[in-house]
Amino acid sequence: MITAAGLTLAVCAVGIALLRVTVASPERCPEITPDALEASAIASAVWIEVAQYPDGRYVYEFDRKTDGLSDDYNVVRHAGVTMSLYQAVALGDQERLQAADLGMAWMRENLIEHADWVALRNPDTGLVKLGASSLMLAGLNQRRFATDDPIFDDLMQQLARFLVVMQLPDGAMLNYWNPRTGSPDPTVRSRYATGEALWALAQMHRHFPNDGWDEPSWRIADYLSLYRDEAEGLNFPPWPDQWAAYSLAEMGDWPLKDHHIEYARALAQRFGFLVRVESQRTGGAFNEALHGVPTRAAGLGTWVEGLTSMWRLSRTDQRLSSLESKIAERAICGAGILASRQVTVGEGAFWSSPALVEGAWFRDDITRMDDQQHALSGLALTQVILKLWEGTP
Amino acid sequence: MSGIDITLLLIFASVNPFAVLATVNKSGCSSLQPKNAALAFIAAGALLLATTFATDGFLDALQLQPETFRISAGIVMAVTGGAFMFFGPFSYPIGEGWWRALFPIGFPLLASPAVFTAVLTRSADAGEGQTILALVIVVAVAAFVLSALAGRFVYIVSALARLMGALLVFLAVGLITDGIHAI
Repeated sequence: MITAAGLTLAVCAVGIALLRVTVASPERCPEITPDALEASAIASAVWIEVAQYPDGRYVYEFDRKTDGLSDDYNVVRHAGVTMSLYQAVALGDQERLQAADLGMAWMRENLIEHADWVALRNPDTGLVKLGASSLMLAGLNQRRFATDDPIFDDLMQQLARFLVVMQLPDGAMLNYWNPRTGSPDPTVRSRYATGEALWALAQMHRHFPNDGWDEPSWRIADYLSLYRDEAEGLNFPPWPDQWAAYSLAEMGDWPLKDHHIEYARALAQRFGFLVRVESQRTGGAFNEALHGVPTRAAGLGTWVEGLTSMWRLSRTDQRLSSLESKIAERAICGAGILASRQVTVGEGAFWSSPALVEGAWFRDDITRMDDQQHALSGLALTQVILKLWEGTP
Repeated sequence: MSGIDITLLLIFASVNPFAVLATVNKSGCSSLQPKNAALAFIAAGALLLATTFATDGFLDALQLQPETFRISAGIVMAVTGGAFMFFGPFSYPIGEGWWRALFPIGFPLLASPAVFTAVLTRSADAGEGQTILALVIVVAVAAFVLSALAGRFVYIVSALARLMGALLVFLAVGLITDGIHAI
């Protein structure tokens, strides 16, 4: 009898221990106050400003161990970082406008004109990638929203026309315009660019409601909701597309159809799951062996961005209202994790170039500009939730 | 997953009264002494009731979200169900003496790890009221099964225990999927 009891308890203990170190390991969501969140967002925006060259470009990648700067550059990420600064402005941080406009000026100097549209091209390679123009337009939309300044309205219309040129009949977007053939490359789609284009066009409809930008937007939204994951062979659908999440939130009061809402629900679930998994990643050899390496800020930031968008949509659309508090909880958790992993002023002081270390996120001693971009967007957008959350009795 | 039907199914399949009875049959006892059986049910019921009320504190202490715990619960249930399916009911020495009502009848046969996790996850997701109601119903049905079928239909009971294991695996997979697809 004692042997049987002992054996039973031993089996249970081993089972519990195994679960505890794997799927049931603690989920740590660092506490974060609205002030701390704001400070963290500002610190990441300041990093972007410090890392901006006089011509408007940003430091692409920085290795704090070697104090080395990468020679690489990525135009899509440039547009994304600039858009993120405009987002911060739109959310009330007016100090970022100058740096954002400088980043925009660099893009305006690298446009290609064709027919009635313009697009952003890579000045080094001549490549015209859809995502760059989409995020440039998204940035201008945010700027328009923040400042109500119509100075770039014509440019916005021209960029939007380029986006429509890149659309396929099924709503999908092609990734490259080929300057040599004078037409889009029909062979390459992009998992990123379609959502980016949708967000840019959906915002265009807000600013110019009579210009018909909703029509191509609907087609992209349908493609993303119903066909994209299968058509583009994306495993484990839905692919966690924060650009699609931004877009659906933007289109929330159009209003969305049931299949868009189902897609939004699936996206919220995916972002929430990813944040839960991330909250179990604490670093260290043992934890990393079982749970994986902590996700870089460019990844975690996108999940937080996605959650904040789904939170906005859950407040707009009754069909998702039951998810509001859970989504908020996960977004705040993700933002708390982000803030806790950010290099503080005190920590940055130990490195050769503290200004390029403080306020940034590093993995293997390297940070890339989109780490700060997505973290800044995620943190700034979560501030809205947290302020409301804290204010709620 | 939501609703009393799922709570009932999960807890019933986890308790698997046919497996409890098959274990009793295997041990050579034709039936449990009424006093021992009552003690086993009271002990297991009390443990599970306490677990129901302690769910929030338990998950907080573990720093686990209910959605994540669903996955863990599903794994425990899947392993238990798989064991019933492939190996049949457990073998435990069952004889006379009140302590045998506590072990192995109370724990781990009636209140098995799978039942604990079922109660915890349903209490977290569906609330204490629904879980307690389901517990009361399942305990009553289990008591009926044990008293009505004691020493009878041995092979059928054993087959039903395996079938219930298969049901538990099915439900567990649903629970795991639900945990992954939850926010």
